[in-house]
Amino acid sequence: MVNPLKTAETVHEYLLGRVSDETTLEGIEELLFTDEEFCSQVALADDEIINDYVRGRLNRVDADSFRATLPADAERRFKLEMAQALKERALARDLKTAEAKPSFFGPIILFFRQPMYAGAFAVLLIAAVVLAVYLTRRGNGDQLAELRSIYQQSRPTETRISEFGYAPLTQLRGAPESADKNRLRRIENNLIEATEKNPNAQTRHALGVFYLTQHDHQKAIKEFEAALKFGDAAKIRNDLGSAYFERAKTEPEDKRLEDLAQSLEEFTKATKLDGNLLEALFNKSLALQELRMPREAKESWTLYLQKDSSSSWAVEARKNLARLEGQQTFLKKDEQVLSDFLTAYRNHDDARAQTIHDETKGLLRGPALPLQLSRRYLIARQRGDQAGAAESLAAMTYIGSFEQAQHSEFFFLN
Amino acid sequence: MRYAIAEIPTTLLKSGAPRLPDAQTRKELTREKFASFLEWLSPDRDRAGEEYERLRFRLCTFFSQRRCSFADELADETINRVILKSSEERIENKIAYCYGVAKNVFRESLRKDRPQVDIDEVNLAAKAPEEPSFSRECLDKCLEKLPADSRDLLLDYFSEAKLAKIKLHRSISESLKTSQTALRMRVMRTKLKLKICVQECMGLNEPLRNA
Repeated sequence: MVNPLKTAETVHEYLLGRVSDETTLEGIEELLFTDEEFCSQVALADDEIINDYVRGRLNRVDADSFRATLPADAERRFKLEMAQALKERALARDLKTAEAKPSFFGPIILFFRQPMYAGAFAVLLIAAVVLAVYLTRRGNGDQLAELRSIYQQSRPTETRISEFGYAPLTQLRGAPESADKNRLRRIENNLIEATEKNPNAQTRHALGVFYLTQHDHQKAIKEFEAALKFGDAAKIRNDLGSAYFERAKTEPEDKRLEDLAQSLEEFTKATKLDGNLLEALFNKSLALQELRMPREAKESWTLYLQKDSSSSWAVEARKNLARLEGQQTFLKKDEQVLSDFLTAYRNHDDARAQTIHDETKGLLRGPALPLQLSRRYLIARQRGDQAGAAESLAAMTYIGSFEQAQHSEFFFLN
Repeated sequence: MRYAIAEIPTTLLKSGAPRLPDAQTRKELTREKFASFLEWLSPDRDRAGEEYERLRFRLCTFFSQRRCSFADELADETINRVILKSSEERIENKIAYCYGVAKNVFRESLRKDRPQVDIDEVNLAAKAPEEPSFSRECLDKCLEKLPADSRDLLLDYFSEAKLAKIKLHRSISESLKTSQTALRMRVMRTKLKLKICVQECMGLNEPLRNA
């Protein structure tokens, strides 16, 4: 379950001084001092805010909030001055470079203006394509088919490997059967031999897939990267992303985030190369989910389900989506938050009502209930809806009393 | 393993290291205690430096988000107290302990007397001590000291010359075979090294000079 305090949005609000709720503040502080990964996340977000401010990429409201934090924070003022000075230096360097550097494309354009050279280049290009097609036809298809058959009952990775059919993920696979061991050894030998004889994108990709299924992530990454040198391909990018994603699980906390980010990058590249590659769409959603980007993950799962609504993979996708929607009040639209709260309030479901309030009060905007209830009250008054106005007022008093009783907080009673 | 005084990373002594807030603490804090404190953070010398910077970031963030007027001074006060305590007794969970001390320092800062002063009686002639202005000369010196690829990375990151920033960052990321987040991390770490160098060059925060 994603801790709402760890979302990028909450960290952003916190660093801009917009979290005033004591419970949320304490929760974030505790994580800051006890969770190394969270501390790195906050440090990175803090640095990004400063960079974005200097580069004019913060919106007006965020920029105002950022400026408001400066008087009390000498450390941040120093960092800001340094970033501004770096921007000046970058500008000065760019100006110098622009004056001194001749166009990069000039000599290339001159080269292709000579028909003889252009013709020779075209012949070379055609030869290279023919050779690539020839080499890719010579295959590892049999080896991969055998490898896939070994994993048809239980898949080896949480992510989807290109062209592997659906199989449930078993957490504890144990050692393979000895018959499987022999088959795996044979497959590995054949794939290595094929790679040595014909080192091309297909052989290196296939060997990488083998290593990925054996959780030898380092070797898998090496093979996929070598395969990519022969040309970019969506499936190789997808499998490279899978290797990073799976490796992240074995890394210490500070490296985990780096690997996950790298996997997301690869899955994104794969989907750009082939927008219908379901494996990459599925994996991208998983990576977003692991990176605690619930909104983006939700959108990504929804997109996946538009393209694949009936397979067994879709069932998993739907489960992930449902989990995200069920757990995250942040994901709901403002009206949905208010509606859920009112339902709980009317049913005297105090626990539920208070949970919804607790999850949104730190935001002090958008879904925050006191703001929504005030707006609802004013609209009801304007329309002459006495019952609606009275209910909104009573609900606000209810929140105020709850805050006073639970946290000695008088803010919501005002 | 203990640090010899000469082995304390110079950058730590000169940059971002704690200031001495009062005479009592000043009397008690020594280079030896600070060295022991670094060793307490981590026996590995380089790692201790990183841990120190990380702790200071945590504390400054804590105090500034608690709307304290001088977050960095309270962070230093916290570190000073931990230095003294860590030399006296064994503390298991170091960072959590620092958090506990920081909460006490915060509560004390709230309790301090804040006399109400009539606006007409305020002596406007008494100016607050001026902060030293950022030295671009030091920045240039420190940029020169960085490895060429790190320097180019920083300047590229802040460059506006290319067509679109997003495209630019993507291209930087691709050229370094790294992800966007990894790129941002690398930029952050390089900036941290640069900051320490600039602070040292500016002669800021030489805390134990007179200890």
